[in-house]
Amino acid sequence: MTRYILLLALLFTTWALPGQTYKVIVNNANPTTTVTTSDLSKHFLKKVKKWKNGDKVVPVDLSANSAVRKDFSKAIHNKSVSAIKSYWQQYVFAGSGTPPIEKKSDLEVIEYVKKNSGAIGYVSKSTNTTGVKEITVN
Amino acid sequence: MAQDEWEPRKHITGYINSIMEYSDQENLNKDFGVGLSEVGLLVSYQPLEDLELKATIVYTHYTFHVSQLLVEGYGMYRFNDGLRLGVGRFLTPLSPINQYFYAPLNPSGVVPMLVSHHFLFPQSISGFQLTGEFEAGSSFKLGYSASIGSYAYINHFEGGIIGLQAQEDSHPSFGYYDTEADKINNYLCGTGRLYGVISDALTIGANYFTGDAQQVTQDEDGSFIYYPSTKYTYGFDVHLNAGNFKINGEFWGGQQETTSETDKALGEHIKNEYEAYYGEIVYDLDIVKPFLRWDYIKDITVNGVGLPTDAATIGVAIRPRFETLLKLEYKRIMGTKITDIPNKISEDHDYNFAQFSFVVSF
Repeated sequence: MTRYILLLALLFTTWALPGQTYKVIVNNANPTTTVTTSDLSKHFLKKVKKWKNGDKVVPVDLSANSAVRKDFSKAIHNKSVSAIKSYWQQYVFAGSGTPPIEKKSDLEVIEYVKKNSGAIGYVSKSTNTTGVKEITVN
Repeated sequence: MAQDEWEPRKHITGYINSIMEYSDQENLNKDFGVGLSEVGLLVSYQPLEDLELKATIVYTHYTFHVSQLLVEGYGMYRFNDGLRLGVGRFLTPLSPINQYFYAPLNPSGVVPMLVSHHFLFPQSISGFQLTGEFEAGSSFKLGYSASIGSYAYINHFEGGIIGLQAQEDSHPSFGYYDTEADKINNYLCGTGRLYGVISDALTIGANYFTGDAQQVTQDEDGSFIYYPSTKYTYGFDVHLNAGNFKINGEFWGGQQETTSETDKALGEHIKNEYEAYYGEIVYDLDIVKPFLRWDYIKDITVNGVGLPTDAATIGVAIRPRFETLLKLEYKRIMGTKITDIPNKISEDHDYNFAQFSFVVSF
């Protein structure tokens, strides 16, 4: 009986908490292996501008209508993509910052991360990320 | 090994803001108005990582000269995080409250009086700007900005459709003040700002503005005469993010006085003291942002009579998606009306103001 209850609980948990649809990637030269959700949000909002090794953090976003970006935004920033666009509109008009560069596809994000040592991006979970390093989000 | 590659970046954003507004203030030509309040367009281009070119054009209902359209147009070169040099025309780099100037950034449809009245600091400055930020540990930042240039001496530049905004204090006594009929001169000025940011949650700043100015008097025929003066103002601002709450507060003071040459011509020394403050609490629920605001301003009229004015505002901004923003607010303005100018006698004069605003962003 206990086994069935545990199975039901597992099924419910799987249904209630859909799996992560993205993975976070950095350049192969970046020694970072894990990042907290809070720090990841700060990297993409440019509140933390340097990695621990002194390299500049260069975030790269998927385009605003990407389903992966919607999931990433909700999970990492706890805000909708619209709210994040509004956040950047404030910084752009105030002259105190510009949003991360946007790429249209996972492949473009991977190419960008390959070419920039401080870059950090995210792509859909099923994408082949050979040539860049996947890091764990805690 | 990665080869860092800079890709030139351009950013275009903007907004269109139409409003409906009502006031029962008795000196108004019309108590209800509907129309286009503002159109703003921002274009920025970053050909190099350390060089940014930016232009912001804002058309308002009361634009009377083409030069007003260019709110910002500058090039900024970054030597390092602690030193950036800008040349061109800037939104005055004082309190961050200046960012409220653009409609999509402000939960209210009305700019705080200490910003819109422009007698404490101007909207824009043309010239040179130095700015920078220094990080001290992971949770503290110290920033500064300094500028020197010229500014257009425009006070009480009317806003909205019915022309009440930026004239909340003077309307009860004098009615509509036509800025276009005033003589707009450009004067030398300088600004300085120092601020600290703690844990991205608390910002505390100190601001200073100084510049040449003009003292207005009226001759026997009622015509305005402008005399050289000097002005300085100072302000302190606090901005706190605590959970979903955002609290902004600001206090400014200062004075304007005639120069010795003017004193000789006028036969008297004129010194006016200014004061204004503002407090706001916003509850940020992502899509819905209710807010409360309290404004106070004390300007000095051409007749040397102070018109202290308070305003209490309650409102809500709703942004279901980035492109659409609705704002609804009610303001109770507690003004002063001069009843006897020669003897400087005044009485309380309260009135109401309400506005609905619809902003489309892109």
